[in-house]
Amino acid sequence: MRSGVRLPAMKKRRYVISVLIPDTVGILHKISSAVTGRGGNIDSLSQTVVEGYFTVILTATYERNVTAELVQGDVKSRFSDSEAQVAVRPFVRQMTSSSGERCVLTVTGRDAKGVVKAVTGVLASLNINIEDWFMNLSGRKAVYVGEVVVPAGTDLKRVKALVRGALSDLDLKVSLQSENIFRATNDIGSVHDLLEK
Amino acid sequence: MKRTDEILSTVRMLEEEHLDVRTVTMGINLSDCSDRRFRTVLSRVRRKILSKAANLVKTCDDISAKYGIPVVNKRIAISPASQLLEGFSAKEALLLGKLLDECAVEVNIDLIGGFSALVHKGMTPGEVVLIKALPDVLSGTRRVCSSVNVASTRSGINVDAALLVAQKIIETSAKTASSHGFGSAKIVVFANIPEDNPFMAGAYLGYGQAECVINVGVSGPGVVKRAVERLVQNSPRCSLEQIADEIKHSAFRVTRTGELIGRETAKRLGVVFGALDLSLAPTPKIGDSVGEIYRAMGIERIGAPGTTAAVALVNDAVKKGGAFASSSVGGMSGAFIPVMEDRALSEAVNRGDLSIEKLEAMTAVCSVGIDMVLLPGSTTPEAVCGLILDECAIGVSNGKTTGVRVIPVPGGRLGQYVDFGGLFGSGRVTDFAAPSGQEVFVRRGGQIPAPIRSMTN
Repeated sequence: MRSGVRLPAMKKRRYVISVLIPDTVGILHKISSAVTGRGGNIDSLSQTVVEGYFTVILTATYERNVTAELVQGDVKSRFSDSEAQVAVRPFVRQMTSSSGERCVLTVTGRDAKGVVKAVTGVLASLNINIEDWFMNLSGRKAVYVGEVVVPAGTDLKRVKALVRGALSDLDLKVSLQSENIFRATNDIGSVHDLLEK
Repeated sequence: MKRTDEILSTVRMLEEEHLDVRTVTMGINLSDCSDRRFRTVLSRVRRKILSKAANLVKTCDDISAKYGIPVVNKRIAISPASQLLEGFSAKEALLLGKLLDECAVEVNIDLIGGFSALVHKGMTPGEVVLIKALPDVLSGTRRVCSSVNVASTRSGINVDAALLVAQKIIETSAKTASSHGFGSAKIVVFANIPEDNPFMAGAYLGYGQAECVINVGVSGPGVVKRAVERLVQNSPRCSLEQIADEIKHSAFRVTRTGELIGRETAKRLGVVFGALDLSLAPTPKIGDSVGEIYRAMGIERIGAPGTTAAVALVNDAVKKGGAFASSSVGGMSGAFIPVMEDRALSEAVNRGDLSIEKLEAMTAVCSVGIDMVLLPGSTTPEAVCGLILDECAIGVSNGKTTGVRVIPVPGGRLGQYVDFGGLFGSGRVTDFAAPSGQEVFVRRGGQIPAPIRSMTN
């Protein structure tokens, strides 16, 4: 889940909050209640559940006198002792590269050790940033889907060939395509608009 | 982040179900290349084609890599070549054909269409020259394709033109006897020819189109077939309505793929994006057959009663899905039934399940016509003309496009196997139930008047 970003007002404090906890109903409600209870406003949020574990990362803006310790205490207090791991740090705008071609990398096939290490190694060596990564295991069949940003001018065919090369001993299929193909085939918005963006 | 199942289903369409962009066809207007001196015509044509299409193949290849979608063919469709032949003879027509062939080689495309004439109401001298030159041009070139429009709903059917073209088809086959009459596979005779069709052999840049335009043809019979198979597997008792919905959804996705490729190609080349033609165009590959869709729907023997209804359902669902997906749908957009190019249809003809007469009935509801059918060497021009007139009658009366692309095989006998190779496929010679008896009718010539558009019961 991801909401839009609203810029914080001046003279306020913005924090990055992450929570890891065994999944149950109502976790996000408790966290958001903790934030709003201290007068904070959630600016952006991404949440998922992996194998029964809930994790969320969000940013929230507070009045200037609210410290990170207070925020952490507010969130922790909504859960029983040591149930949740909560981390809070001041928000600093990151300079990670997000300019380039947004692409989707998929790796599918028989699961094996070291797939993520091999693939991410190739991507890192080519300065390709991973913005989102998903893996699912069904029986022995594994599916890896990564949303990545490929720097302008990078040859996608070469990237794909290098990833395939890194997995050459394994029974896996690799594809790498511009994100727009998935938007075009699954969304109902105008294709013309996709290209304009 | 897109949903993972949506991502994987798109990847599956591309990697396992043969989804591709069948053709990116650049339409080029050559009408400004006319001149009294034919050498000037030739030099202008050459200069214009090479300047407009120089980067066509590279651009398509780059976009193909970006999206992971094969762009199988890159082609050119020119404005009707007959315009350039006014005041000239068959000799110049052949020179023009050869120049187009050379240009196609230079820009690395496999086919160039538009050696065409629109003669549905009458023929100009240049159009007569072009039609009479067809046997020499189609036998003397490898990449030039031709189309002749002999009928329209507004004008009726030009029987004189139909008979002349039929004679030239027979002659073209004879001149390409060493390749079993392959030259005839490069000419289509139309009623209501679309102005923006990207598919060969009938592609040309029609009147009213832009100076230079990108039209895209997407296919995807494999995607539709697998979608129907999955539906039937999961819901063995599913209704035809459910099947129609499934086909619509698949058509939507295939259409969007084509529009994305077409728009980006046009943008990079700095030309206009014209039309997107979603036509289920098969190839001889297993799993890439329109006939296999009918089988998946429950028509176990193609040609059995019910086949025409199945074709109508598919054709309509494809059009509806495409129309929802894009406002730029054009060309023919529906289901093709090119017998030789479609494994399942070819097998049905070989078994005797599917006759020319049944194919003709299917063309009343499909998007094209009698396409890629092998005929015996004894087939007369009058028989070919009769078939053209029948198809035109269906197209003219129903306000739709119909076409005829038949290959009379020189010396070919009923049942003889012929293999053209590649996308053109293979098949066996078939024949009409009554191959003769139309001679007096077709030789009367003249114009079959346009049909009345009211009292349509």
